[in-house]
Amino acid sequence: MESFPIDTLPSVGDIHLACFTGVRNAADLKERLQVQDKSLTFAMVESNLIMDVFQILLAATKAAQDNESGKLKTQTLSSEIVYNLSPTNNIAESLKRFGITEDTTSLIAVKIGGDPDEVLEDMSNTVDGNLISFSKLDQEKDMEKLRKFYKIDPKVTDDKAILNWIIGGIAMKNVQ
Amino acid sequence: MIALGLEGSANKLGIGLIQHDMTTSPPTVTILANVRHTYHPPPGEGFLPKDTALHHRSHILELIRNALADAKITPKEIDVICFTKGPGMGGPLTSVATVARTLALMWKKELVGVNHCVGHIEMGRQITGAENPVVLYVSGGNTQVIAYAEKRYRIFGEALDIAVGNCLDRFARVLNLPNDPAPGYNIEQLAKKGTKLVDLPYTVKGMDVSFSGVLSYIETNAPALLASGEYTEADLCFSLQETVFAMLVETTERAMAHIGSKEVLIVGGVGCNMRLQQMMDQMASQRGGKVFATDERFCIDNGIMIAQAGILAYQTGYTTPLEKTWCTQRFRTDEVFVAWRE
Amino acid sequence: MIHNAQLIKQGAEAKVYLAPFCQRQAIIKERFAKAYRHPTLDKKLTSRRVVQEARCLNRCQKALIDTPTVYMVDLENSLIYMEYIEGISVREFLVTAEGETPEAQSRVAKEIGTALGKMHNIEVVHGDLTTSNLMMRKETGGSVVLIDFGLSYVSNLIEDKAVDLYVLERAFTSTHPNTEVMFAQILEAYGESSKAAKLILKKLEDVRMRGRKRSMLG
Repeated sequence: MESFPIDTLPSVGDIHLACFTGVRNAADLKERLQVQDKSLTFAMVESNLIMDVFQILLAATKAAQDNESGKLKTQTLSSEIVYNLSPTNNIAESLKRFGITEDTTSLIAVKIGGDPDEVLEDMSNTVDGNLISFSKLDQEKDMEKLRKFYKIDPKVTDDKAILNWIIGGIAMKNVQ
Repeated sequence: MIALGLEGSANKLGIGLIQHDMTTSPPTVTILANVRHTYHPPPGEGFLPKDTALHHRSHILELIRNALADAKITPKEIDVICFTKGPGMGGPLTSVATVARTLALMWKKELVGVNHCVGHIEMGRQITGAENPVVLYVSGGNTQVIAYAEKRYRIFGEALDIAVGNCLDRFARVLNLPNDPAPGYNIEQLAKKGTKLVDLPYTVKGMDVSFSGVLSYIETNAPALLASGEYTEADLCFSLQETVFAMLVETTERAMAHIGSKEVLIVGGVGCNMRLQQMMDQMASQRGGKVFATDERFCIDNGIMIAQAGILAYQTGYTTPLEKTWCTQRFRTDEVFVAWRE
Repeated sequence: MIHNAQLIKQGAEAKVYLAPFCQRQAIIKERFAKAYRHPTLDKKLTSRRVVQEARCLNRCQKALIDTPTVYMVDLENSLIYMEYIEGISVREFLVTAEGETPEAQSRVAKEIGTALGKMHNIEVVHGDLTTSNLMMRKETGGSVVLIDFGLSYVSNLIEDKAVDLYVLERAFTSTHPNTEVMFAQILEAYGESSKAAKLILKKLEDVRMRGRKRSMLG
């Protein structure tokens, strides 16, 4: 697991990220999300839609900001992180696209605030999979979906430009 | 050295006599006379060129006599006759220029044709002592943000359609406010009682502004806003002033930032408005700068300003030969070569 | 606002900071309140302009014009977080040994003209084109990036686009002597990338003739 400060709101605590592959209990996790199980205290996103750690830190930072000003669009801070990854304002579709499915085998768990050791323990106990480092992630991107979800111009081909396009989409969500 | 100034480019007819004592450096300036007569059309109407020219023709001789009497001088003591060459309304301009030419021939004096806008700027500088300010020139016919550079008054920003004074005057007509002493003055007085801000169009493009949108919006919506009882006439005047003046202050500030100036001088008829002066002062204070403004004697069109700008040009050897004393409705501020400044 | 943000520029309507943000260096642009403006009007204008600037930047990005990527828009505090471009401005470049060579000037001119043509094609008018607002990206070896869209707006008017070019021309002539050739090359490249180049360049001549401003009635 890795932890990053929220530069705009240091007092809220860090953004904790843990990547899991070979996840075996996605169906169970999805079920718990659907019944809004309160014991699930972190967000889970499809890791093949994350190009760069910046993308997820940005979504989490925006969620933390909106939580602070009481302006969450979704029910919880966790769902807000997933929602923020999507460039559209359709909540159900955003959560479906960027959240996990029953068939998910690779995911990123995200939590804002809390003691790192406790967070990691909670995540490891909840997700049945192999904890890997963030650098392994780039092998698993689903470019087809990314292009579709972020409506990326076909002429944009290099990774940096694709990432910038994605970031722009996340940034402009509240000022469309 | 004494100059007679004749101004009549719009509905004010002004005659001024100014003296520059050339034995001191810089010359000591004395205002010998500053008289004015204003043409007021009935409420709800604007002034038409024909009626305005008639007004000027009927009052100019009496006004010149009054000025000479105030100054206690005879025509013999005058060195140069200065008149407004433009910009302005054709009829009124030429009716005054005709008198200027006639007097020059009768009294055997030189003539100097003066740009009306430059007249405002030079008078403002003289009265306030502002050294090198950004100038906001606001009147019924003009809206310009000006700064001096390399022998010209350069226009940094201006109204892309109607002038701010015209916008205020036309709204005064909608409310049927009297034209006496000035429609804009009556808007200003009413605005003091306003409290509620109506959301109006605000159009600034870089250093340029546009007032036609806000005018047509408020003209169209005023009857309904008033009928609803939610807003009073005072609220509408207040809202209009707050909106258009904010546009002016914003572009002026941008020009100040651009050229790195801390001084701002407001000239022209709308420049008398105390709320505009107050807003400009707040802006300047936030930047650590200063506002210069004049009162109605000098910011409203007058003859003294024409005499002042004319005498400055005359001192550099400039005169307008008789065959070139025609008037022009269009005469840009930056067309004038400002020989008298460094 | 980030507590260790470093103020790098104070303009007439905004302060610009450099600050760490999500493991990167970011530019934060803060528009501040104007005391002279009615508070309701001030709030409306400030928030409208924050949105306008972010939208113009994003619009350019989507049209593949190199501009800073917008990271986050905080409407409540009138902040735009955006990409920090490492490099020098064209203004700085033109006084370097390399920047004084005709070859380098020609390359940069071509890039500027092409970018401006593309920007006008999507109806974005920059509003404040100067050589300080044209950056050269260090990581690509000096490709041109358009920055500071604080006065930008969307317009399809030929006039607005011509004035946009004229403002840049004045910036060139007032700050960089002997760059007439370079500016001509900018217009040449602009002519190739802008769809309405013919009309806009013709209008530019009019704008030049009248010294930017049209004649006014008194």
